[in-house]
Amino acid sequence: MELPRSLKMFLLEAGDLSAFTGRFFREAFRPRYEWAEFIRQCFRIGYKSLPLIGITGFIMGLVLTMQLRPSLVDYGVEAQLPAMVSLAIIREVGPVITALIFAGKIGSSIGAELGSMKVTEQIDAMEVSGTNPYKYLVVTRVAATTLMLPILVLLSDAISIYGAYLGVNIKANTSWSLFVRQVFEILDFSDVLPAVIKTFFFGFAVGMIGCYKGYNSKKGTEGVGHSANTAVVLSSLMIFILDLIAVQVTDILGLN
Amino acid sequence: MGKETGNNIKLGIFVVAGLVLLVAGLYVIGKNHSLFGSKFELKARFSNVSGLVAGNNIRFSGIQAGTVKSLEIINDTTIEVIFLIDKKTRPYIRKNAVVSIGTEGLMGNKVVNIYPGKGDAPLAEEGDMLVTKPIADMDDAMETLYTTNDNVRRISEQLLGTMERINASPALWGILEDSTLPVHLRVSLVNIRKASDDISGAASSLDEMIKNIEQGEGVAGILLKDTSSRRSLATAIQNIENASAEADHLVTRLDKMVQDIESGRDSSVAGLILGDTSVTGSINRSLSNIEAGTASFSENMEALKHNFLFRGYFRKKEKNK
Repeated sequence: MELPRSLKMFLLEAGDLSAFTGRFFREAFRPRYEWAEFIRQCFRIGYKSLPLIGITGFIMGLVLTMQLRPSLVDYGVEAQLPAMVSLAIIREVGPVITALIFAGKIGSSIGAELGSMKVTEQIDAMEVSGTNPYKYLVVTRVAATTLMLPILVLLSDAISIYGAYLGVNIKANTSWSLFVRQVFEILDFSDVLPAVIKTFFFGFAVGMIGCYKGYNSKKGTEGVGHSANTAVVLSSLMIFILDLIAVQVTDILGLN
Repeated sequence: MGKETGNNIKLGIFVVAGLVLLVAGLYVIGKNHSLFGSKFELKARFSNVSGLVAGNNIRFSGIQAGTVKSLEIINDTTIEVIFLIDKKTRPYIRKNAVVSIGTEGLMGNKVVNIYPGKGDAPLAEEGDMLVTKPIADMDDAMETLYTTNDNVRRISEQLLGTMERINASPALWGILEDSTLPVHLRVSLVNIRKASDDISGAASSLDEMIKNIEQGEGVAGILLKDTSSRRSLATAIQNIENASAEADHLVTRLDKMVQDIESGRDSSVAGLILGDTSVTGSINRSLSNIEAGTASFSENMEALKHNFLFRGYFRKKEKNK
């Protein structure tokens, strides 16, 4: 039985990506470790993304608060605004929006960078010179995205909550201490921990797909653009799929 | 190299900031759920916990004081709830404290409320069983509301019936639509006011009269207040009583006398006259004769006046008059 070409391509891609991911785990825990490159990537991926993530996070908190307020006023539960906004930010909006922004910025950057290195045969040159290009290029970037995204999400959550505080104070008057108290009163470990844990997977997916697409870039400079584009599209899609899996798992574990 | 060190420091700050946020957040959440700090256990038994779960908050007089540690079914009507109470509230919870299960807000999570009991009692100790108060849950409230609603419906129906009867009553509407009624009412009110004024005046006069009586003024006052007058009055009444007794005695005697006369037993002149019918007839005849004699005498006297012998005497008498 002949499989349709698109399905065949999809399965081939899935198999290749799985093998690429498996290789990460083999290479990551085997010396020698590329610490300097890892730290450099962490700085580039994590620290350099903070302004963008911070601005989007702040706007997200502010807008979410302003959008939620009329509905809560209708139901007469305006006092619950800090609790509801913070719960939405910590559990879902913060991790997902931050991961999408991160995928747009870092996924495309990694895809384009590795793609251009591939098409200019720099990766092949590294292999020839005795450097393990996978360990140097892929492992460091994927590890950096995996570890940096959770930190970015935590900072983004904090900035979003500050934005929400300002949003609450546009039409009401709440003190910072009362706001923080209301926020933490509603929060539980089951809200924070699954949200933090899933961001590791988001970061891993963004880094891995970016690297995979860049590492397997073809057709010259045109391929670089394609790699960057598909890296963003696929990692964004993957973020939502992982989010769906995460909510199912937390539901099964009774953490929802 | 210098730039790389600077970048690493920035990265370090970035990572530490993220981790501090995570740890601080988790610590605050843990603190809110009483995971840190020393605690002691208290217990209470309920017949129904209304959805209380481990981890729900405990409030002592409205202040966060701990969390629910666990729930255990003891038998088909008893559930034992174990509370983890912060040690800082220990000096305030006594053995007679009352526990009840409530709700945070109208639709919020379940919460255990501990209230101080009445009177004095020793402080609660580790593992003490506290007294519980039955839960006033939403079902009970709804049931009460249903009864109230039903009563309101009945009252509304009765009110409707009353209103219909009022609307259908021509007599009432006749009264309401009678334009002269207000005038009459106004007049009546004026009369009532006048009567009221009169009554008020009468009342003040009466008041004054009573005051006078109290002060012993006037006839009634003298009668009521003056002891000598009262004594005289008593004497007078006594005399009247005596006179009455004598009159009674006299009447009895008179009665007896009349009876004697009637029966003819009385032999006195009066008795003969009144009792004997023949004597009565003789007397009647004698009286008739006397009348006839008197008439003849009058005639004789008239003739004598006209006699020439006595005419001068009578003329002289006339002149003297």
